[in-house]
Amino acid sequence: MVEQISVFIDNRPGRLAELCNVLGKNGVDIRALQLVEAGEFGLVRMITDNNGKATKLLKDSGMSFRTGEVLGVLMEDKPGAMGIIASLLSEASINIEYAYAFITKIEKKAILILKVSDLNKSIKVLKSNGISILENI
Amino acid sequence: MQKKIEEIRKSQGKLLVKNVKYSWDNIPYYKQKMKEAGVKPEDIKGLDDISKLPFLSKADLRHHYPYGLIATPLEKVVRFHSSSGTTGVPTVVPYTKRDIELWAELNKRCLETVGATPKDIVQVSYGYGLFTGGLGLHYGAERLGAAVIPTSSGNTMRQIKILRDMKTTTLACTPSYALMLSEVIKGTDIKIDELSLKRGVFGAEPWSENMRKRIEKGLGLEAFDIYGLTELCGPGVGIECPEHNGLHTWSDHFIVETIDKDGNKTDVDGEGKGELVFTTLQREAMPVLRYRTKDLSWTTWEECGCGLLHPRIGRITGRSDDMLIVRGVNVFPSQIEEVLMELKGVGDHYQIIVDRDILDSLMIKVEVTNEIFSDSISELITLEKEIKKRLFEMLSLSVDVELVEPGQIPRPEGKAKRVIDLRKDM
Repeated sequence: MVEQISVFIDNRPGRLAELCNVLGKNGVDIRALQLVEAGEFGLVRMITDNNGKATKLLKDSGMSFRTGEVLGVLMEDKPGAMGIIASLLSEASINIEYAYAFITKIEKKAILILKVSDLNKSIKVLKSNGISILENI
Repeated sequence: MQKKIEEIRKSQGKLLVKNVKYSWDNIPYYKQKMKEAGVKPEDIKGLDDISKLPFLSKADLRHHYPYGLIATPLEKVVRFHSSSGTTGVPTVVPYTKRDIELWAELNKRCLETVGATPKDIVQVSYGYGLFTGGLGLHYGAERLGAAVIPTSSGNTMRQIKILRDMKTTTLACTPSYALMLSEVIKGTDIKIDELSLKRGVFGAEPWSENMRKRIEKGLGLEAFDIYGLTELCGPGVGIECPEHNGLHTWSDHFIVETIDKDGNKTDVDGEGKGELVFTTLQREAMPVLRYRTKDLSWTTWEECGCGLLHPRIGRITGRSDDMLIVRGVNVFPSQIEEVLMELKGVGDHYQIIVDRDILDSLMIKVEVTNEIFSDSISELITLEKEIKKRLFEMLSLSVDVELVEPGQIPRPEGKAKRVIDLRKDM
């Protein structure tokens, strides 16, 4: 399981830059990030190398945010890999609420971040099928 | 001329004396209020004594919802109208048969003042119903002998078709709806010279000279401001004449005064500036004595170029309370706050923005606190929709809701500026 920070931001030019700069200037590295927009506002979901520091910085800048557990899965960087994972979860009647994926420095590996309807069940299902679950990324 | 005005004011005084006695005899609450103010009917001998009378406020009317201030037996009442409530309690106004007739007469006079005759075709695009706009102008036009097309509000394409096909000469609606009609016409292949419009009677919301120009150009007509309040009967209390320099109020039906924010009378012999205060002179079912309108303007008996010997009030320049009029609907910021406060985590940080593109728009910005923030977009959208729905239920007005980051609403001197009205420069 990986801890993710979700931040509420206005959907306007420069807002993401401001958010990233706050973290960057204070030495927090954003490992993964997803930006979703919903009209006038947006959501940033991210995983950093130092969530404790990141949340303190966000709090100090008066932003609304929330931390939560998501599933980090290490998968093969090859065609069909993500399909296998999605199928396994689907067969176990687990719903994927959202997901984002990126490749890593490890050769031929990619990381998939998943928000699922049942976290513990997902871990069980994936592990029993030999898929690695990440504690951090 | 001065002598003539003095005569009119004297007869206003006579009607006032009669009306004060009538109110004392028939409305227990008025009697109680006058007693508390230490006034008896016999103390009111003429117009100059009006300042002895206590004021009547919207809160007084609300506290006696629905039938508490009716001066006649209920069987004499033939109609009720109502204005929207500020906190759920509306103001109910009763009419006897005679009240309806006199109301029709006032609106007939208004239409005559703007040049309408029995030959005219009057399209009433004000809403019909509890709101007084539709029926008030309807009766006035019928009493004049003009042909009425009671389209009521809405269904803009049909309104425009009727305007053209039925050769409407006189349009009655809110100024923002008039502007909307002109904007929609622009987008069709209908040309202004295909229309037969001569004049428009527009009221129920504040508007400006700029807006007048836009409407006049857009619809090819002469635009007149009409004033009224449900508490006084509805539209027909005041009307602009072709001089376009203030609105004449009918001196045989109303006394107009002005007061400052502390309630001190500021008019001298009917000349003054401040909050308008009205006293009705002929209403039966619910006379009002010194009703505080909260509308800011001026009043004068100065001679008018049109020759009418009825005093004028100026355009309404603002309100002495924080009430907003949005698309003809009265909105108090406290109503919006009440809705927001009901939702957990919402409430402290919000801002109300009123603007006018063609129609008025009301937008509420709500800061998303940690308490209401959710990682799920759909939950945030649901929250937005919920706020919208509840505001609609409270105001009967569709409102835009925007969720914003904390700190986005400016807090000058630590206190948020709750209401921004961008229509001021229209």
